[in-house]
Amino acid sequence: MTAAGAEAREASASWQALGTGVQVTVTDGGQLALAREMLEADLGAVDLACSRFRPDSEIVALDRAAGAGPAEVSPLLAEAIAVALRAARLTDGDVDPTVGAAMNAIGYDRDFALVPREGPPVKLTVRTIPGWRQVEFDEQARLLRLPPGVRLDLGATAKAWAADRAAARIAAATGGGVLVSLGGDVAVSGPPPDGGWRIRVQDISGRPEDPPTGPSAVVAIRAGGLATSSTASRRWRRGGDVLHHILDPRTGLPAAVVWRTVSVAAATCTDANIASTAAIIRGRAAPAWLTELALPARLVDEAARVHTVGGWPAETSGGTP
Amino acid sequence: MDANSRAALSAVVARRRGRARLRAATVALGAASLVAAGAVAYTLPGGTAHTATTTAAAGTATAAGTATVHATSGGSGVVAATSSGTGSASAPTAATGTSHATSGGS
Repeated sequence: MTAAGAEAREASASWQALGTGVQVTVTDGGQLALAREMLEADLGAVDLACSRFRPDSEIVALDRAAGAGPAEVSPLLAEAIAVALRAARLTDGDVDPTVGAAMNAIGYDRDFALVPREGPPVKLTVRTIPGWRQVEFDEQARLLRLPPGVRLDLGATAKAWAADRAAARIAAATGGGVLVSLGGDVAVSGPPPDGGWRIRVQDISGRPEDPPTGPSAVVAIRAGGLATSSTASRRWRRGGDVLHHILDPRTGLPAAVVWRTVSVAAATCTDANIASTAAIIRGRAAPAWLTELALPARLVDEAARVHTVGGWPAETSGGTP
Repeated sequence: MDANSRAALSAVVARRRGRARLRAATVALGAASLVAAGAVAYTLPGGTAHTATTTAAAGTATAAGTATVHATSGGSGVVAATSSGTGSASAPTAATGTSHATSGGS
C-alpha cells in the first residue's frame, strides 16, 4: 500500500486478482483500507461466479449442464451474463460470450499465467462459434439454458463490468473519488482529483512508475471509464503461429491484427471495453464505427502509427514511439 | 495456418462481414443521427445508467453535467453528456505528468 502521485492525500494499492493486475486509488487516503477491502470482496465474488478456470465456479457448473434444462443462476452471474449478451447485441456479435470452447481449442484453457508461451503446432479449424443468439436467458427469472457444447467466456466484459461496479460502490461508501483498474480496464467514480484522473494508455498495462513499451500517451478523464484492448498482450505461440486472446467469433480464431492496441473512453468502463474489443475485431472498419458512435478512441496500428477519433486528444510529441 | 490459408480465410470473412455490416448499418444510422444533434455520446446504445445524474427518460441533453437517454427503441438509446465532467462521462483531455494508472492490454 503506497501513497501515489504528488497529492499527499491520494493513496493507491495494487495486487493480483482475476488473473490480472488490480489497482485501486482513492482521493482520500484515509479511505484506502475500506476501498481495498470492498474491492477484494467484489472480485472474490466475481471470480467465483465467472471464472472459467475454477472448477468450483458457477460458470463451470453451467458448462457441465449445457444441453440440459434451464438453470437458475445467481444474481451476480445473471448481471454478468446480461452485460455480455448486451455487448454481443450492440456489436452485431463481434463481442460474443459463446467463444469459450473456441478459446479452449486454441490453447487458452487455463489461467493465462499457466498457458505455455511456446508449444507444438495445433490444428486451427475455422469454425463459426455457436453465437450469442443460441443462449436462452431470462434475466428477470435468472434462468439460463445453454445448447450442448456451448461454453461461455465472460472474459471480454467481466473485468470492465466489475471495475464499474466496484468503483461506484466504493465511491458511494467513502464519499470520495476512486479509480479502479482491472488489467487496464479503468473505471472512475466520485469527485475526481484536480485535473482529473491521469491515465497512460499503452500496449500493455503496467505500473505507472515503469516506462511503457511502445507508443503511449497520457490523458485525463473525470468520470466514466477508459479501456484498452490489445493484441500485443496475452499472446502465445503454437508452431509457427502467434495466437492472441481476442477471437473473431466468425472464425473462432484470433482476430486478424490490424490494430495492435485500441483505447476507448466512454460513460462506463464496460462500454469502453465493448467498443475497444469490437474495434480490434472490426479491423479497418473500426474508426468509422467509433466515429459514428462519437466514442473518443485511440487506435495504434501494426506499424505503431496512432490514429485518434471521436474527440480523443491529438497526440504531438507526447507519444513515445 | 500458412499465409495462403489466412488470405483465403480473410476473403471468406470479408464477405460474411460485408453482409453483417449491412445489417448493422441500419442500427448505426439511427444512433449516428442522434449524436449529430450536437451532443456527444459516450455510451453505446442500450447503455445502463450508472450514476445518479443519468436520467433514464427520453429527451435531449440540456444543462451542463446532465446526461439524458435519447429516443429509445427496445431498450436502446444513446446517452449524451457534456464535457463538464460532472455528468456521467467526460471527454478525455491531454495530460502530462505522473499518471495515476495505465491502461493497456493485460
